[in-house]
Amino acid sequence: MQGSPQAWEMGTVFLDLHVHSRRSDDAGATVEGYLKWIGVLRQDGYQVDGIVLTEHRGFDLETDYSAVAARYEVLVLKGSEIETDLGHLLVYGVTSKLLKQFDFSSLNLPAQEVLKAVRETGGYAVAAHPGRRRIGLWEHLQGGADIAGIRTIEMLNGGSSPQENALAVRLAQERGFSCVGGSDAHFVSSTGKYLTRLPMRIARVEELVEALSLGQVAPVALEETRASTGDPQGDRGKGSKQRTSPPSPSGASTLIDIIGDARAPGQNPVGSETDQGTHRVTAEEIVAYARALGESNPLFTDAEAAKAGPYGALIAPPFLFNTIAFQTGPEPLPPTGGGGTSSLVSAQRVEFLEPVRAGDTLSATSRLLSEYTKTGRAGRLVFSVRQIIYRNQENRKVMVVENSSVQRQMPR
Amino acid sequence: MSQPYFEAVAPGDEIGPLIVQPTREEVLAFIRLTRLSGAFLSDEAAQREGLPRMILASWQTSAYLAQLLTTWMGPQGFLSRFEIFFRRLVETGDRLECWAIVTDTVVRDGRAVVMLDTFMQNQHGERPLQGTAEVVLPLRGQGGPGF
Repeated sequence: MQGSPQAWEMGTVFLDLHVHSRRSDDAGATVEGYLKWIGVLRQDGYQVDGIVLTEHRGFDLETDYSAVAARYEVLVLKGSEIETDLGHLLVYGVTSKLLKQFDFSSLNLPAQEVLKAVRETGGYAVAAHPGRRRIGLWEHLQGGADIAGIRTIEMLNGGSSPQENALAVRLAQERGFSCVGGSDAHFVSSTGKYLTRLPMRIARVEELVEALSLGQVAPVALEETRASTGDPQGDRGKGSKQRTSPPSPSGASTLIDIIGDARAPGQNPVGSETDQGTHRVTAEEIVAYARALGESNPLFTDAEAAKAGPYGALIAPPFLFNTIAFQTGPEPLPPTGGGGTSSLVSAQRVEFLEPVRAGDTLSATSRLLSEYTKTGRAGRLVFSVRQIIYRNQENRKVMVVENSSVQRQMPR
Repeated sequence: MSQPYFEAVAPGDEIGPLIVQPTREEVLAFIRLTRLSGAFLSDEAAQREGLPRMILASWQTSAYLAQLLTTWMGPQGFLSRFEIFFRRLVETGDRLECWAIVTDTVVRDGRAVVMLDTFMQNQHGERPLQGTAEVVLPLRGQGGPGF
């Protein structure tokens, strides 16, 4: 629990039990990135001994992180965050036997059956972010769900709001659950916000399962780990950057955006490439775009100053192409609501290879990289990832863009 | 514009905030550059789509995060990669803080690359946008991006 610093016992370790890497579809961090960042935290006097990779709806049996973990002297264990009819569960000690019994990619696994199987296969399950709406244990409990089999909850979750974590505290107090903490990090600098204190060194996931089973765990905030390194001064250096709560990792489900290049499911087979046309980028267009965003950067707004700059001309702000795409690409989707489909833009990845100067003529080709369907509470969801390659008039690639979007087919 | 150099940047450095609070007029000015319609045009249109009020386009919000970085990196910096996850709606009137944190610095293929986490935070403490970026910065005594 948060509180005044205290001297931790010798052998105490702090693990972040809830971390997502790029293997999760909504995370932007590499495992090595996390380990480097933990080095930064350690330099600032924090104690973070390890992380557990709990990827969404899956478990990575193959990848061995022991070499990179040894290089950075950080323990790396693997678990999973699965979705059940009691909300999300963090599962530690996943075995191939367990994976044969359940399809981890399911959005609505039967929690009681999973909990029983996890126990029988030597693992341990923790209710993740229990205060969250729809995906947390609290709401299911209010709805009369049977929560037998749940003994431990993630009381401090770095992706939850203070109100959601307060509900988790209340749940722990009322039900006598043992508690853990986890950052729910999806990005490097979010890791370690909350951690779990364990009384002994941990080297293997079986030892973590044992500690969880014995209730030898406690949630802590990052600041509290300073006590163990003899630096109880609290807020200074890198720790002060963790001033705010990171977002809900499942916040994508709350995004309702109606832009994007999504089309009717199945309209384009995966891999087919379509010509998006060409577009000449004008100085007027650049300046208008920059002004609409309140830009004062002379490279985008002042032709004379830009001419004397490193590019010898006005250049386009990085995301000007998003407005170009709408002028040369497919027609925008019809408004949402009233049945039919709606589109959610979930992510955009851009590699910028060269600047785009005023006067350049861009051509674009688009290709569907992947498309898959899931059925959730909101109905049938069609996920698609589309790649758009922009070339200039000299046929050099200037940008490679990947747009991820979700189309929801509303119940009729 | 000031020019940061690679040697002066270290993991843990914070960039920002760039604070924006787009008005309806500013949102509409951006929307006029696009073919967007519906919830971006008025509260009424948004409410017809089940939203409480007029919202900002994702392309506008991500552009503010890019603006934070392009302003910071100076004329000789180059934004080489940007990955952004859209997590929550941004409504007109929201007070938005754009931040970035340096997570690593590497010299790769002769380029001095700064790796960053970046996010936008609203007045409720939520982060509707979060992502990562890479910026190429000049080394002291060397030239600009070389394009």
